[in-house]
Amino acid sequence: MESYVYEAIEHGERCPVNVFITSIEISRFHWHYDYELMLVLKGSVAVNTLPAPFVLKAGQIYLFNSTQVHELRKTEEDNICLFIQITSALFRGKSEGNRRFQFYLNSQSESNMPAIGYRPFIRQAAAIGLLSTSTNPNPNPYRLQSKLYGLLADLFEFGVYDIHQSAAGRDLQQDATTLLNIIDYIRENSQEETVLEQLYKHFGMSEKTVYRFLKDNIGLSARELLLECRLEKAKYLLQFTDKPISFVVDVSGVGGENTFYRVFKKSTGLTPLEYRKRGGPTSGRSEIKGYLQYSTSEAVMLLKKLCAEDNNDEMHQRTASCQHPAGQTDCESDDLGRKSLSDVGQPGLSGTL
Amino acid sequence: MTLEEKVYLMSGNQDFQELCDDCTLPGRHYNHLPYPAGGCQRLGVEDLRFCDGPRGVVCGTGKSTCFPVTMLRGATFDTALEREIGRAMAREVKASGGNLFAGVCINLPYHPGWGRSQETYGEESFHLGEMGSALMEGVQDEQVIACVKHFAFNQMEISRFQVDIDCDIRTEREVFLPHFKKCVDRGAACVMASYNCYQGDHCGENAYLLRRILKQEWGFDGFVISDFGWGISDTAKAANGGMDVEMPSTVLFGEHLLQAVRNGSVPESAIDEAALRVVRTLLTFAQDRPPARESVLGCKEHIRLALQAAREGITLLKNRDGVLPLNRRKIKKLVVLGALAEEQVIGDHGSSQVFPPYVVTPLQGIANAAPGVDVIYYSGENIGHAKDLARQADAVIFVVGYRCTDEGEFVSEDMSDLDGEYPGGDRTESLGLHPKDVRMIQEVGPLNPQSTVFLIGGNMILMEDWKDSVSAILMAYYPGMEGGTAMGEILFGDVNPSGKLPYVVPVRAEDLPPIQWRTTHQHYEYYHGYARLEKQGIAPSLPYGFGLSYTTFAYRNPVFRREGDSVVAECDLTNTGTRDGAEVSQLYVGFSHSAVDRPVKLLRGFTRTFLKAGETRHLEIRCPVEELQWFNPETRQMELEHMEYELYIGASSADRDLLWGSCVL
Repeated sequence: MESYVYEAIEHGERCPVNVFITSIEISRFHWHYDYELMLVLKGSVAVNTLPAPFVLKAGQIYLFNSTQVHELRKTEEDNICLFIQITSALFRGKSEGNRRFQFYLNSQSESNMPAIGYRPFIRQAAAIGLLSTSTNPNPNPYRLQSKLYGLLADLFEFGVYDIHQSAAGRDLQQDATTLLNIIDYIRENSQEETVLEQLYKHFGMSEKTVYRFLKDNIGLSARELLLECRLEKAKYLLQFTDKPISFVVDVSGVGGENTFYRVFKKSTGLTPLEYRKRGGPTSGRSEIKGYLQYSTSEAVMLLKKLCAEDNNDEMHQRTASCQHPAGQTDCESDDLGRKSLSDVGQPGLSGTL
Repeated sequence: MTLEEKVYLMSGNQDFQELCDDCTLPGRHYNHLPYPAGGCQRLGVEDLRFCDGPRGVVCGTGKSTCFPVTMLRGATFDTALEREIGRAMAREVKASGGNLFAGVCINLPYHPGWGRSQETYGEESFHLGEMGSALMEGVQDEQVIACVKHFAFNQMEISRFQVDIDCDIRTEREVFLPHFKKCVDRGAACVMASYNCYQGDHCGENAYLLRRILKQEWGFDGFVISDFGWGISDTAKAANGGMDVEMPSTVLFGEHLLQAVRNGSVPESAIDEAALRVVRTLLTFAQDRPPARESVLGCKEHIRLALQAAREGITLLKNRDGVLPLNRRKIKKLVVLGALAEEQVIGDHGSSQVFPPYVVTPLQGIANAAPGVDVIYYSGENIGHAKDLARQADAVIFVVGYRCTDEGEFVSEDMSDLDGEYPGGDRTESLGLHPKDVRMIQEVGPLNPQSTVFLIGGNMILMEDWKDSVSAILMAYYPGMEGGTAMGEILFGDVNPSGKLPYVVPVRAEDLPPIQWRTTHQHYEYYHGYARLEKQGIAPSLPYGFGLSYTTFAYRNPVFRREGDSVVAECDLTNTGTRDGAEVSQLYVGFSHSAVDRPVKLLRGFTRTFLKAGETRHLEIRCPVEELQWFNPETRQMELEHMEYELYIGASSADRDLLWGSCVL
């Protein structure tokens, strides 16, 4: 599930966040404990996740929740995206090991609009992106943290979120370890026909318990998860090896040749042979390589633009926020936002333009 | 004892700056240590060490047990449990270093908008007296001095320092004083006078109330303390009026009082009397006082009592088609809406605030009761999202009502600067839910067939504009540190609810007595609460004493008779449903044959019975004939009318819930 093509920005231990800019070709179904904020800077990206797939366009923002299973695909147009991965530990107090926050931040959707609109989130995400680009060689980790916490503050104060509350004593961190162990076990043994039966025995959990546990945590049943793992393996072999298809069918553990073809086609829209000929799900691999060389300045420009667009919106934001009962705080967050605008003009950054 | 020593006994030793620091410095709070008063080292008289209440011991942080508020405990109608709670609180007082507990608050909420209603048991004088004296007796069982408060006519918060109350003599004697008298008759050793005025005089220096009624007529042999800081305003008037101890600091007593004795404006006999009362009480209570270790603070046994009270007090008000209890096996996804679900709903942040080691929130309690259920909380801010959640869930729970900014202790509007919170005070604007909660219930409730409202609050909350939008309604009051646990248990049927409303729920606020919350004068009428609605022939939304169960009870074979100095109601009570459960049965006495203006009927007895499914027990509720008296303004004494009285026994004050007969006295 290490399928991101990304440009990692290391911030060391002083910031619990990982920020990178990339062009998405495909990032197959995966999940992680980090919350992940995605801001499309250019073009559009197809997002496949529950409850329904959608396309996120330039200037739009989406927050993937911790353990939310999702897949990203390139659309017809080229894209550049900003990702901000935030450790889930930031969302829990010490005594809150038994609760999980689920946010609904999706500027592509009409419902669940934050009380202050999406603009402040986009602006703050863009500011974080700017602070983290490689054109900013010595990012100030405290500035970055202040932006991050500003964004989290708005998320908690104005965003729509649920809390999934478990019984006292249940520790979701413990659950997380169990979940990782289960997934590793399935991946490592996916070619075995009776992998699930072995799994139940290995973990001392009943089929029903494992089913509920996985459904609760990643929304997939053990059987669905197993199929995903098997298809992953098959795709890898098809794409990067010359092994005969009959071998791939055998090793994948998906079943007989007919079943394999049917399931594979349903999942990818392609037959195994077509998949191999294309060299993967799409044909655009070389362009991505090129992107890394030319796009940084374009990304910075786009990020600046997203921050700057604010000037036009400011009046609108103010009127909207005054209608909110907690108007006082809204104005503070506007202030924060304006500060972030001036931050953009740091010498280190403007030099790259 | 020298005059100086006697006067020293008569006031608090709390440094005023220290007291202010308590309320403002981090890590401290009001009464975080007991407030000392009096004492005489030379003669070995211990000082008074004051601990506030009444939902537990206010002293300390993260230690003492936070019981459900008094109003919830009123809804248990369980005097035996209340006495146990009194003992537990007293043990915690001792463990905190105190010997005087101001936890017995028995002011009668004349109007449910009173911001501190949560600190008292309910609107009915008889019930207040029974519950309050049970707590008082429990406290004193442990040789801790129980302070009964606030004497008297203190049921308005915002104007408490200014308001002058008046009422006619029958209202005074029949409605506002009998519960105080009952506590005094049963041995209460300390009374706290209130801030307000009664008929022109501050209650803290009101000779009519303190000297004539309390000490002379009722023969009270304990001592009177002032309410804090602003309880008295004149040295001589207070001492002559019957004030024994100025609290919590020496301001108007001490040197001023010595001066007043020396210049003759206070007779030394008044000092002697006060000193005698204080010393006599202290000596009595210091004897054989069982010690308490610090380990009793928040101990398992006390927390169990707090949970037990919540289980017995939470009141089921509506349960359409038996939608409750929820079936754990059928509920996969449960949505909890309303920000209060996530909060510590233990009540006011004023002088009654207790600082327990932990609090089980409603949300945590519900999740604990349903380990296999996906419990999703949402504040409800965005109605659209709340609707989406409700549609996808198997059941929806709303947790709505009040917090300390809506109702509670009030010093002044300026206090909001201190902690950033607007002070609670009385519910001057509305007796209903906040408009956004009403809207949420109205819009979201109908989308799910299993929708339940938990109300959080200290007194009656109007329900008319939303009650039809949900299937079930429960009043949770402020249910204490284990309140969430009890809420979860009741929701899923591990506990069968058995609380009964200690107040009437009217259809409209206009059915209640008129009141001016911001005022310097208020007249109290003879009729309030259910007695008022019954007298005026107004049907309530829910009657006094009402509360549903997951089982059903039948009352049969009533017998009413006089036996010696009591009237007795008997009947058979059967649990006719399929679950075990407890029922609070009530005795009412009717006065339709009276020659004077009297209520239609009044509560004059109650009992709580646990019955297994199908079980029948014989009930007997007794009431001393003395409790049926009225105050004759001409003879100026309590008198029994010789006439036929109606006697009722049943499940609530509503006619449809009562069997009745009569008895001639």
